[in-house]
Amino acid sequence: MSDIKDLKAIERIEESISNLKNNNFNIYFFVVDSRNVPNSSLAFIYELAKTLQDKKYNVTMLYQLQGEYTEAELYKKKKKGRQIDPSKLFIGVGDWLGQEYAKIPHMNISHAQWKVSPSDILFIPEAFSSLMFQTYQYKAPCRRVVLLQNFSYVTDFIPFGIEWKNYGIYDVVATTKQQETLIKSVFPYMRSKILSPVIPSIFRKPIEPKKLTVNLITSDQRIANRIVKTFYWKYPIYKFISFVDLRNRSREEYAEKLREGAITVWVDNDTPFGHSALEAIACDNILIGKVPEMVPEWMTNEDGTLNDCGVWTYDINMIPDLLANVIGAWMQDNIPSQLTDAMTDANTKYTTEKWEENVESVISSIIDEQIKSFESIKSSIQKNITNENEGVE
Amino acid sequence: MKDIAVIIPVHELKDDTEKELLIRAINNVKACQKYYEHNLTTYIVTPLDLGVDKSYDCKVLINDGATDFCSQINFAAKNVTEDYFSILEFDDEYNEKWFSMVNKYFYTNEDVSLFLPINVQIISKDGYRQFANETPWALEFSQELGYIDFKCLANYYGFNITGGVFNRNDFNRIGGLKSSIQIAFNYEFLLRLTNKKLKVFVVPKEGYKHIIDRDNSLTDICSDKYTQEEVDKWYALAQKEYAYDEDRNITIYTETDNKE
Repeated sequence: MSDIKDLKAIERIEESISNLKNNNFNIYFFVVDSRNVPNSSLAFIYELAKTLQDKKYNVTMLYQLQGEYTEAELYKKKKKGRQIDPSKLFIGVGDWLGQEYAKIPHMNISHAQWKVSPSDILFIPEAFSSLMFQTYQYKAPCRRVVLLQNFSYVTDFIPFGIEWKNYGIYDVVATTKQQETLIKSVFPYMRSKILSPVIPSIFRKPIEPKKLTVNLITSDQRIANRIVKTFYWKYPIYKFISFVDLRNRSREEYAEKLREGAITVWVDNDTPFGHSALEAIACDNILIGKVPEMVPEWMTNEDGTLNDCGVWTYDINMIPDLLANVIGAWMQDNIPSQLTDAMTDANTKYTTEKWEENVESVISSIIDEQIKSFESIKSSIQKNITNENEGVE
Repeated sequence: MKDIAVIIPVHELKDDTEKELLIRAINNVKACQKYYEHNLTTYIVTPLDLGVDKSYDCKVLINDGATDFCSQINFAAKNVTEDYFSILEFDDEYNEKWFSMVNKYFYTNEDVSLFLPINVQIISKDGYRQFANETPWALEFSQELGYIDFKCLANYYGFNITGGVFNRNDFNRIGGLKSSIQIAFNYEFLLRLTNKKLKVFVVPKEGYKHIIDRDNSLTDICSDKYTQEEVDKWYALAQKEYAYDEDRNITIYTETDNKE
């Protein structure tokens, strides 16, 4: 009886190995609805999903939305002119990230029966400890990998006294060495890989010469007001300078404004990577930035000092003065080559080519590890069968 | 953009200081040449033989006609051979990178008839700096950021054309500058240009430096010569005359004239 069970197990394992080798498995990403608010963490996840889809992997985005309208319900409501409850709609990323991302298959796991097999891979963002728990509780047989972009989100929702191993989570893909170090300092048992983000080619040096506008990338309106108003008060000679607030714009429009403008002011204390700053540099903007709490790795030299690809300050009150200096230098074509050379260096770090190479390497290594893990289970079952047949205790 | 004629109008050289300023202006153009990939040729347009052509590597255009600023420029614009020209007042100076900067904007704006710099105006007594021509870079000043259009000129007339790079063909075709408009000739020219849907773009770079309070400078003479009433009337006249290509030699009458 036991032999039959074991043989069936071996058969299932062999099937899973074969599925992994023949690309007959699914890669799932759990996401939340951005509701059209641009978000760099979500953009990273969709970028990864899209790259894998382009590499012919079967990719599906999972989300949870209780009471979501079915297509038929929505059709009926529209036909009868009834009010539609927006909280029952999944808006997605089409309007800000682009339709090619919105078209990746999506599945509401609150409604649909989500069937998962051992050869599948599920990527869970670091903040979703509830999903880590649910998939553990219901014994989801797939390989679960946490996507770690910001260590502070890990501590946001996980209950006291619980850690990832309590949810059976042992795999993490971190976006930086810093994030990897942080997670291993608390959960040393994690198997980790690093997948640096990409600065997509939509963020590129423009052909047209720059307009004299200053782009603002700030975490909230109050910071933007503080910078702009102080600047005009202190430097009335520059009252003609136009500021462009880049918050809540579609990625296409956002990139267009970056390509057009000459200078970007960036203030985001909590960012672990600083996508926006790198995107601005890629669009050939002179960047004036407040150094975030966790200094992104691309901002530092090997000795840990800040490099010259931006004009950095630790004090937000210095920004209007720095801005006046940069505008003055830019208007006289006197931007130091030290800065422009460092910008060129920064632009070579996160290219699409490197990203595609890294994605392939990370996903292949996850698949290989899974195959090895299956083979190891298979061999221990086979060993058991042999031992039982030989009467070894 | 290629080769550019730099026109320096010289009505007279009163003293050694003015002669030194002229030599400095010629050298300033030479300094600009270091950054500019095409040729810059300096033309001094003057009623006199100043004797600076051979020794200072510039060309002299002897003007036998009227020698006011506008007439001198019109004369030079007809006689230089380059497709583009710029005006340098001999007591002013270019940013040495101005022509290389404007060249960057030229290739994506080839249909522009006049590229203006942002002018830096300095009061030498106290070193105070202010800008001119910068307003088109303020949001919603004109229909397109950086451009001067006919509509925005209805409410604003503080533009300077010195230092600008002109398409010579367009300049001559619309009749050049009008001497009779006196203090408002800049404004009238821009109205005429934009009324004909020709494009005026302000390159967002400090391209030209002007000392406001130098004795005997054109600005200095103008500020002493005209009353506010006269200034207002010249600008009002410009708003009527832009429709005509030729200089109709219309004049203004003020309260003072009437009393006389």
